[in-house]
Amino acid sequence: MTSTITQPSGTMLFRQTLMKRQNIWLAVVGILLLVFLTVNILVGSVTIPFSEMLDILLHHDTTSTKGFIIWNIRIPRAIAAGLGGAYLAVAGLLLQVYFRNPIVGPFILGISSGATLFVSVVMLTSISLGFTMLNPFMCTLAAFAGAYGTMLVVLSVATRVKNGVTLLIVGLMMGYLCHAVTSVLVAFAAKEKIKGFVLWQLGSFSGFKWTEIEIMLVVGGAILVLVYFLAKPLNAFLLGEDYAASMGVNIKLFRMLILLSACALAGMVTSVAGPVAFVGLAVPHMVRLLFSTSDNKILIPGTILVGAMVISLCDFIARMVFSPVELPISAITAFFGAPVVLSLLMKRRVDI
Amino acid sequence: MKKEVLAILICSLLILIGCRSDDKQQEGSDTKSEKTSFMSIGGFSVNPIEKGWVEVRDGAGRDFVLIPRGETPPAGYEPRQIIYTPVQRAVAYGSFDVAILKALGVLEDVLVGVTSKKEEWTIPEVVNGMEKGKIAFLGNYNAIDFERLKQCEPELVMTWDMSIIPMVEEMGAACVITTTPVAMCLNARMHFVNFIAPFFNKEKKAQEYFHRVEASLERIRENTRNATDQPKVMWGDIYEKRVLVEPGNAWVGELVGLAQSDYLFDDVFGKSCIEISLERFLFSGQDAEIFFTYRTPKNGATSKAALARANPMIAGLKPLKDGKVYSPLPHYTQSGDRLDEILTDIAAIIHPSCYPGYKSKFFRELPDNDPEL
Amino acid sequence: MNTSNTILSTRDLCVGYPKKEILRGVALEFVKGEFISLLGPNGAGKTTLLRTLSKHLKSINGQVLINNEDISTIKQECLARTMSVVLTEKVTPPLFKVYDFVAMGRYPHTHWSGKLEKKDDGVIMEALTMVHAQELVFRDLSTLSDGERQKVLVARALAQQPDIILLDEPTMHLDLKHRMEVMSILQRLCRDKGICVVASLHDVDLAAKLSDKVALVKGGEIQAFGPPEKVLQDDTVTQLYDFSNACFNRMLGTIEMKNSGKKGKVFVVGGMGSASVLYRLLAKKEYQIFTGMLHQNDIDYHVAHSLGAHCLVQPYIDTFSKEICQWAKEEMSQCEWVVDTGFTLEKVNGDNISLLKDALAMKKPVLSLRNGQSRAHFSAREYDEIHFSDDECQLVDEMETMS
Repeated sequence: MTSTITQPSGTMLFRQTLMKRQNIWLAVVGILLLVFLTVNILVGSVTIPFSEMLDILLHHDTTSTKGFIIWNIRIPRAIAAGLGGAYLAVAGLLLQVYFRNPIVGPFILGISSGATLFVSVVMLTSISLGFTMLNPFMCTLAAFAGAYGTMLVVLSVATRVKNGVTLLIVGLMMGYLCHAVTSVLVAFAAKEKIKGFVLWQLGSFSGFKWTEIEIMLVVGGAILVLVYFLAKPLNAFLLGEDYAASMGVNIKLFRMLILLSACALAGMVTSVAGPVAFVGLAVPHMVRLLFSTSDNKILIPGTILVGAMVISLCDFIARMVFSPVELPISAITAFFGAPVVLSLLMKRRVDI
Repeated sequence: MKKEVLAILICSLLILIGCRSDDKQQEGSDTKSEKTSFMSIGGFSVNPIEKGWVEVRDGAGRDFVLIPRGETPPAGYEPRQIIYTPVQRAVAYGSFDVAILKALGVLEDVLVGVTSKKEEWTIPEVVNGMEKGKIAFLGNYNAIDFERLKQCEPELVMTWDMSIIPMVEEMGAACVITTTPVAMCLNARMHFVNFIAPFFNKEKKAQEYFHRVEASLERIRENTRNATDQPKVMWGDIYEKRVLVEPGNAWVGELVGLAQSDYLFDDVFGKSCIEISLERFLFSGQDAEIFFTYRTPKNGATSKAALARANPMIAGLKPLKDGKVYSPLPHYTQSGDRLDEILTDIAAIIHPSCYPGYKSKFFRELPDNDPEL
Repeated sequence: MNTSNTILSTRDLCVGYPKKEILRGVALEFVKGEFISLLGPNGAGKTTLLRTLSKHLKSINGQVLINNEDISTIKQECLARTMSVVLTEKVTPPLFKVYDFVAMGRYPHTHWSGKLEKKDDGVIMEALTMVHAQELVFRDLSTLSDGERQKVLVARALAQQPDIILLDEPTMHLDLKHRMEVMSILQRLCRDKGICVVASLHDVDLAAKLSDKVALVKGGEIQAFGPPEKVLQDDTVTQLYDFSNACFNRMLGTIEMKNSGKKGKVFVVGGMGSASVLYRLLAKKEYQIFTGMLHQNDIDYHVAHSLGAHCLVQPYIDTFSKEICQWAKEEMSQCEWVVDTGFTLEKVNGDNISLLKDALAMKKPVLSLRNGQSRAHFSAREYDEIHFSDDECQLVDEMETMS
């Protein structure tokens, strides 16, 4: 091969420098995440002096109230916030790539509406779906059933549909339908019951139990691993289904796996924390602009870290700004997230 | 970019702080004249002007002028601000407002519409009125039937929902907002009757009510003066994973402080039923001796064990282990006219030693376990 | 037909959509290193056929065989190593550099993680070089022009190292320069790399010049398949596209527009290739053209014939016969203007000068492009009567002012 303007080593060099820069950013984000996690554990509405804190942490003290607070409230909340942020962000990324549409979020297919509907049925009516009145897992299970039920409906449609846009519309309609039924239930509900339901609708990472954390880690972790293996076909998918097929991607299988992963992740977070808005939509854009690439091999780990980091920070703000009063986390994520994405776009002057 | 984010953060904080309304706490001078001189009560105000007319301001800062029937209204006021007294047909959203009407002795005569069903009312006058058809059920509070409202021909609508103001004014009635952005303090709660009274020319009755409550407060101070302990009290509840409490500026917080005890959420400021962090709830709960819930027995507050089962997180609260838990009885929220008794009730719960033999009329102490069926 | 060289063949293939049959009985054979064009009017089914061949669309009936294996049995990944496509849809993935985009073509050859090795790098750069786009390698995909983008799309298809590439209207939005560039790139892929290129085209003349085989798609079937020299006759193309006022000339390899001839009759005395441009101009200006005397090997004849002019042509190359001279004179007398195209005078067309002199004698306005040659053949008086112009446009302008 005769010498050209750019030698092969030139492009390899280009790629290597890019990769180095991306790895540095990954490390920075990772460190920031650790910092936020630590801060979330150390700081709270109940002030615990550092020496006591060390004691509690080192001796795994759960018997004293402060120990209980650290081990059973703060640490699960910090972990849950991180996981929740990561899962929602990855779900958002997957759907944005699949639909090749930048304004798609993890709830576009009606997942949160389905969860809200089932939770409203259980909380607002006398239908208890087999749960006793105040079963501690009642809401979580109802939300789970709602989210995954909606997912199944959407997936069964996805297999029959040629066009991505059709699927989007189906998801939107499902969302509207669930929302409509929920409104009717709210209209007839007793005042007392509405209090709890309205609270649930404003998602929060408060009150997580270790059992929930374990399930989230195991199942969510497995899905994240699967998603990382799908990075290559995801990249192919950026060129559209036709080109992806011509490059060897099994479109039917791939479509199913992507939607399943996205809905499973979003559904899981919604069932344990309620609907948390904006993260799934904004974080993939932040990550894309930060790493200046669309290569999902970098974006997936990047999204996991940045998503966890963003929610950890937002949860901290929601808890601490007017401590002990808690603000709804969806408000904080939107309030800070939107300007950040806007400013990143302005700086780059890039059309996404 | 950092500077912009910081600026936005500061602005938002300022806005949120500004939302806290100032609490004007001026005692009104009263006994001599029938009509009170200018009085401002936590956002409301009553200001008698010439010729027996009264200027009032509601909880949302809207001004009205009360004119006796038959007189010509003064210039300088819009038609929608003029209310002819005594009001003969009134609609009320809140059960506290309805109770105050009862306290003023005008409920059976003036109340024509409510936003809760007959089955939900415990006030006998309301139930009777609804059975006889005199008091109409207007539909759910978040979506009332305006046709039925029109049918009632109200002159005054007392509500918290500002979105109905245009429709009500179009019907020719006055819409008065009877809630404030933050929780009403004790004084405001007591003086609220003085805000409602001028509408019905029942100032004297209002004063009687006020004195009754004031007297009961005095008695509470007396009785608890020699109390030996200062029990710690918390008022709130947990819903799945979220915690709502009464803030320190609410009347319960004040009362608890008055009655020689320690309200554990004194430092929380805001509206009633405000969300706080779970860890703070548990942290305060480790010291609390008395716990008042929001939940009625119908909604699951049947026993301490039931509460603990419903939410294992709070099983470790001291009141659930070896303290006392109280749940409000169904008529509690509708007993605003018996505020003096309610205050005494709460004081007696906090200091049983100062009230030997007292049986609570508004709260139920939860047993350790559900009764065997 | 050498079957070992056949890369793709179809057996009684029927393509279309579940309720709608588009083409039936398709029997094609593509050989390695061949350039095949699909020609046909819009909606004939070229895209449907290509999508069926690339396994994007399921065939209704019949078989598609790649290297003698039924395509439905070939796994997607294996197929990707043999066949790649260039489609009409516009893809603009965000934040992609040209390098990343072409690198996507390595998909069937890379590790499951998609990691690119040195070998892949080499293939990518080679692909870019083949399409003359190596200087674009670090550009953002969104900043490319249509022509550059098309070349990059071809490079991506090349990076797959296929044996056959299917292109759906690759020259659709391109300017002439890029159209020629892309077509020549495709041709070199066939010649140098032995890749079979199948493209649906609209440029019949390009197809004729560059393809090894052409398939005419119309009326629910492949009307013809074979070398363009055999398949592309004058009337087959005209019928293929249902030309009502145009005509394909096989010899010239072009399409000429017929004219309406409203403005009047012009007699053009031409030959030796001097009149072609003028014919087109006059046809464009809607004059009815009569021309002579020409020999059959003269390009002027072929152009005029395509334009539908009345031609006085002699089949053999010799001085013009008496009959044809007489005939020419008669035709000329019916025309309003006579044009002399400034043809070079040779032994065989000397009678055309006499024709011009006759025109002058008939008092016809004679316009000429001649600039001084053969002046000797005219008398001074005759010479004065001729209207001279420097070029065709000026001449026609003058003609228009005369009427």
